[in-house]
Amino acid sequence: MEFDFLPDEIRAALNLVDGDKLTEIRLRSGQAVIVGTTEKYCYLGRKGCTDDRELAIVLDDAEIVLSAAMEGSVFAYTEQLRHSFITLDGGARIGVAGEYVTERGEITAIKNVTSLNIRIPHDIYGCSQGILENIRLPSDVIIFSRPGLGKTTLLRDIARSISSAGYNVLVCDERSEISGGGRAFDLGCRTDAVRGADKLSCFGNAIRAMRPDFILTDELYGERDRLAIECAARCGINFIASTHVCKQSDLAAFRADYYAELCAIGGEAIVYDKDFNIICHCSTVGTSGNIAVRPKKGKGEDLFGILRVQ
Amino acid sequence: MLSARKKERAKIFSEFYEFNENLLLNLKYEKIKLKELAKRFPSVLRALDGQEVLSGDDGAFLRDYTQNIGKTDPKSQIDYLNGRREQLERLRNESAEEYKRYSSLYVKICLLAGILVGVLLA
Repeated sequence: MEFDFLPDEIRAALNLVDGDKLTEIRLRSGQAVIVGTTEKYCYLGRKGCTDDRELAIVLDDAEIVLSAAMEGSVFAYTEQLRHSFITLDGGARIGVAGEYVTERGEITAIKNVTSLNIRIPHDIYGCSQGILENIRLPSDVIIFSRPGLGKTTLLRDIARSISSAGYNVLVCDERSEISGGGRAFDLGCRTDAVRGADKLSCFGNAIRAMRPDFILTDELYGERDRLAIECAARCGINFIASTHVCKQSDLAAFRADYYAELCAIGGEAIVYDKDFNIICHCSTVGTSGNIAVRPKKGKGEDLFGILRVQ
Repeated sequence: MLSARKKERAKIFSEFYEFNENLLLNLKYEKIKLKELAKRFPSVLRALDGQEVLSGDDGAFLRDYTQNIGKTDPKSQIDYLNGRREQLERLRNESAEEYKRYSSLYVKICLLAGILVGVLLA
């Protein structure tokens, strides 16, 4: 992943951090730069990761970094900025915090940007194998977990797997994260990606235009997204989607044949049937690549650490 | 050689005018990034990189132009570019006229000087 838009000092320091383990870069104006790795959060010093705050690089102005990331072309990101993020070529997503500019209650822009959260995408082959072996396709599947555990990574591998199984797959990539904004990730030879459109528009249009067997999408949330998947179901198209919603009562609003709870990529996933009866516990260890695993909060026994597989 | 500066000025304003038109279309449709769009316009690309492409008032105008493009949402950008369109068109036409006038003047002067040298030598 290129970080041309970052200040030289930060870029040089990032070269000393293992890129395969890097999951986040947190930038706040006037504050120490913090990086998230698969093991922990640490400060970013000139010699790489450090626990000593005194050695950390301090970011001058987050707004300058954001402007550089957008290559001075705010107009190309206006719609994304309304939702407090931008996605770069390659799939890295930058979350933006600052002062919202509103008009009639709607967010139109963000000014005085103070914080950025750069999320680094991962691509792990074979990590969906355990889940796919325990569900009967074609069917509707929802993958759920809290943010940062690898749902998008899992979706990429699912796209590849079901595409190679002979299905036409349509990726409805609202934030350009799954496909990485173009050809950044291999999603399989029978996969088409629609980027930038909201799910309801994408589902409605793409079902007619592309005739998919499966639609893949991420971050289901709210009524419009529920209507989108209902639209797919009515048209006889199966969907596989991820969501941050974790409460079973809320999840039930998105009707599916299977629900898969992701604990972390490289760790465990729990597959449920449509009535939330557990079908199995399965692994999400990949067959190639570096597996990014974030320790699960609150339970000491769930610290998976790093699993590197060939 | 005498008219090289005028030629360069005319070329630069022509490029900026064309770029402005392209950017207006781009904002209404594709919304590709500035530098990608500017690839076909070398002087615009140089200006976007912070280089001074012209001096004096011309330079100040172009500096102001490049500092304001890409900074806001498409609607405000379109308003801004439409506001600059007339100025750029005027500068493009004026610089092209000036180049044409001076280049033909220089050609005539050179021709006359050549004839004068010929007469003197004869």
